[in-house]
Amino acid sequence: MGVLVVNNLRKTFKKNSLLGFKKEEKKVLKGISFEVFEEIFGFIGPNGAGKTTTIKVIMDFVKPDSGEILIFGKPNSDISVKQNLGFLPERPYIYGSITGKEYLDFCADVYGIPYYERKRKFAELLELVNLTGVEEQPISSYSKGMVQRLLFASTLINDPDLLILDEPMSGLDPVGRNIIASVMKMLKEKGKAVFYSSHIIQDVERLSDRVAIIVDGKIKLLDSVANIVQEFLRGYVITVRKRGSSSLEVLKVGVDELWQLLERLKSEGYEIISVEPDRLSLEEILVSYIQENRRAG
Amino acid sequence: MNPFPVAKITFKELLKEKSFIGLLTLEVFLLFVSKLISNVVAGDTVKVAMDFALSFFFFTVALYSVFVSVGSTFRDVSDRVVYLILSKPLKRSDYVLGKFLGCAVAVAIFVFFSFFIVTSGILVISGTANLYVPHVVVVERVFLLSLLVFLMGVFLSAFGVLFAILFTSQVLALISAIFLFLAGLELSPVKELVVSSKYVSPVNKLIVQIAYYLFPNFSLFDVKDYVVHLAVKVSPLFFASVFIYSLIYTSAVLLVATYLFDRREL
Amino acid sequence: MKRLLVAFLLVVVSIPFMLKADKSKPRVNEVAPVLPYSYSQVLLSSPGLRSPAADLLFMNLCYLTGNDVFNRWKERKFTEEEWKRLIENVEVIEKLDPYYFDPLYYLGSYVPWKVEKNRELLLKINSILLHGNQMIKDWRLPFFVGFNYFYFLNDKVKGAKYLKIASQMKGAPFYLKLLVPRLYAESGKIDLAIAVTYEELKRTEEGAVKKELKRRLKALLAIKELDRAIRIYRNRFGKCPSSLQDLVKSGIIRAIPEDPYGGKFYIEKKNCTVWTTSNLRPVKKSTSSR
Repeated sequence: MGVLVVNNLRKTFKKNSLLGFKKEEKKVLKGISFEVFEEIFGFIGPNGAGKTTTIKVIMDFVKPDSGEILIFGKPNSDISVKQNLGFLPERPYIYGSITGKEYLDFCADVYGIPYYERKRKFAELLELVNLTGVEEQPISSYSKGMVQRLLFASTLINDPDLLILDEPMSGLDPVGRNIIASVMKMLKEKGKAVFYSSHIIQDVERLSDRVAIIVDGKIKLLDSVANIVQEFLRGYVITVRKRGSSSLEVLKVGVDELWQLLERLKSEGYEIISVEPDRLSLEEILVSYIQENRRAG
Repeated sequence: MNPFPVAKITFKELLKEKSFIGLLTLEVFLLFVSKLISNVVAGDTVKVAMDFALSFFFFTVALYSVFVSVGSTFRDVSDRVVYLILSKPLKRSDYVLGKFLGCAVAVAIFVFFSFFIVTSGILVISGTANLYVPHVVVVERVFLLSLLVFLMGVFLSAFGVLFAILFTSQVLALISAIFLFLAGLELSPVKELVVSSKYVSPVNKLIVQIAYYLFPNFSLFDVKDYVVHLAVKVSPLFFASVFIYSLIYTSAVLLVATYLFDRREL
Repeated sequence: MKRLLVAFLLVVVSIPFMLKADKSKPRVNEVAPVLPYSYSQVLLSSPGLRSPAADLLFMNLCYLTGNDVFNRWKERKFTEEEWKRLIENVEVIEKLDPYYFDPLYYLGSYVPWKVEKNRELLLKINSILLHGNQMIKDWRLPFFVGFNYFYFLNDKVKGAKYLKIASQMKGAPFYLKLLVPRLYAESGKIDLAIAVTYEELKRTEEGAVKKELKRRLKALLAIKELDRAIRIYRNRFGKCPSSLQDLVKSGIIRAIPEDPYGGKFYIEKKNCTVWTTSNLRPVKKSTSSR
């Protein structure tokens, strides 16, 4: 069984007007199921598809109408599961008046980390996100990216087995994104599970082992990045040059005809410069799903 | 149950807020105002200065407690700090309780400083006043008043946390808390006037009586007369009952707050 | 910068209109400067601020009285109705802050002189003062009550009664103790005066006061003796003796006693009672004053 199991999640938001008349209902999640193992699991979808709601339900901030969530095999309402969990909300914020160290102290207090371990632990975490030396300054003096990195580091203070991140890359510069990506990879190597949502598809494609695409409250696609790439392979683009000629020729070929063509080119005396897969990127897949959904809707 | 980490960080955050120093400065300013007002009156100027200084003290602490508890709790929810906190192994009731405890400690520190400011202020006023019969200031009595004012601040903080959870608008929560406080102060006089009046119908008298029993009675914490007039005597039993009353009522308010917060969608 | 200048100019332009409007604004012509305050209204409009409200009312009172003293009300003094309101306002102040002494002091020491003809208001003042005396143990409050009775209301017995209460309170000056028997004696209650003096004599420790009380007692006893002689004389002759010498002549007393204060006893013809030229106060060589 996976570290995080989400089973047939449904959620409807009721919009109450002030006096309670005219209830508007909006179905946000329409039966979501997936499972996260010791891997990096990307959760992508357009704005308003239900990514943040799903994460809120997983974190027990919002109760689902129906469905089941198991973390480490226990229901998510069990407070003990959070002992081994790290969570970073979307656009995280913390009081500007306290210092970075005071916030880390708070986290350490919660997890009961003894004082003699704290200094070493904090130094390690700050090193990890490249924030060494600013911990004594008030958070209001940090840039937005620094706050996000600090809070990201603080989610690792309890050495969690499952990390849930809501848009960890948004609002970060390329260097910051790189830092977070490398930490995520490192955690995976340690056998931890990372579940994160993002709308920066290139990062997801680069980082994730598996992805789920959510559109309009439903999971449209759930597979490993490798499989998706293969499935959406339309063919190959082959660049060749006739021996003795200086001009290049570009040929397109279907998936099944690749070897035949290569054999033929070889026998006809062509030099093969490159063979590239002609496939849909994750972004194109996502866009196609959104468009499909719009047409259906 | 582990409300202490939240209490600690709440308290640290609140002490660095501008409202802490701001309201203490206001208190010093209001001491001068009291002195100025007292200069106008004939007779015992120290009495008048103390009346005003202690009233200002009383209301500043009340304002501080309401601002701090409503503001801090409300900001947590609207600025999504609550997500960071609740993602950790803390129950929602831990959070509410921690918020309350943090506010209570902040109020305690505020009252502590206010006590020194107000006491030294009225000691200077009474020392420099040129009176035929000197007005004696008993510091122990100011201290006892401060203790009650602290209890009141704690009581109000519980309401502040409750209202911040209950309402979806911070202004509404603040105004409700302030009106609750004023209404709680009016309770005793209203009951006194209504019950002794010939013109109020029995039904209305009953309503007022019921409200008197159930509504939080903030006038209990107002023992300014005990400080100003040395002839007033207060039994230790009074202090004990006020303490127990506010303890029980505060727990009830916190219970409601945790109940609401447990059911709240964030 | 230009815009700010224009904005400022606009404000300046608006000023004459404001002044014009302010001048032609409808106004209530308030005749009586003293407003009647109601206890319940003041109480309800100042939650938790009973004492400051009382202070402000008293300030208002002092201000109005000061204006009355210095003739600020367009060459007129307070009417009786206004004094009545003032007295009632003091009552409101005392309800708001029952331990506030100064308004009562003002009420007792100043106001009676302004309403000396109005018996009803004087009695109202006395009742407020006595009510205040339940909370504030200050000898001046019963003293004012006694003084009002004695001086304005011409009730010497009640006056003496409250002065006696005042004289027994802490902080009361010793001469009050001497004043009480004198008031009784002046009002013709010699027996009461003697009894009070005896009582004081028993309680007083201070030497000077004790000596003074003894002298007073001696004089009172002499007056009492002479009074009794006059009664006998009247029973016998059916008329008031024309002088104390008549008593000696008719053999009722042997000699006219000496006034320990240095005055001379005489008969007040109006009531046919004995009194002394010293008025029970030490006489400094051939001068007597009242």
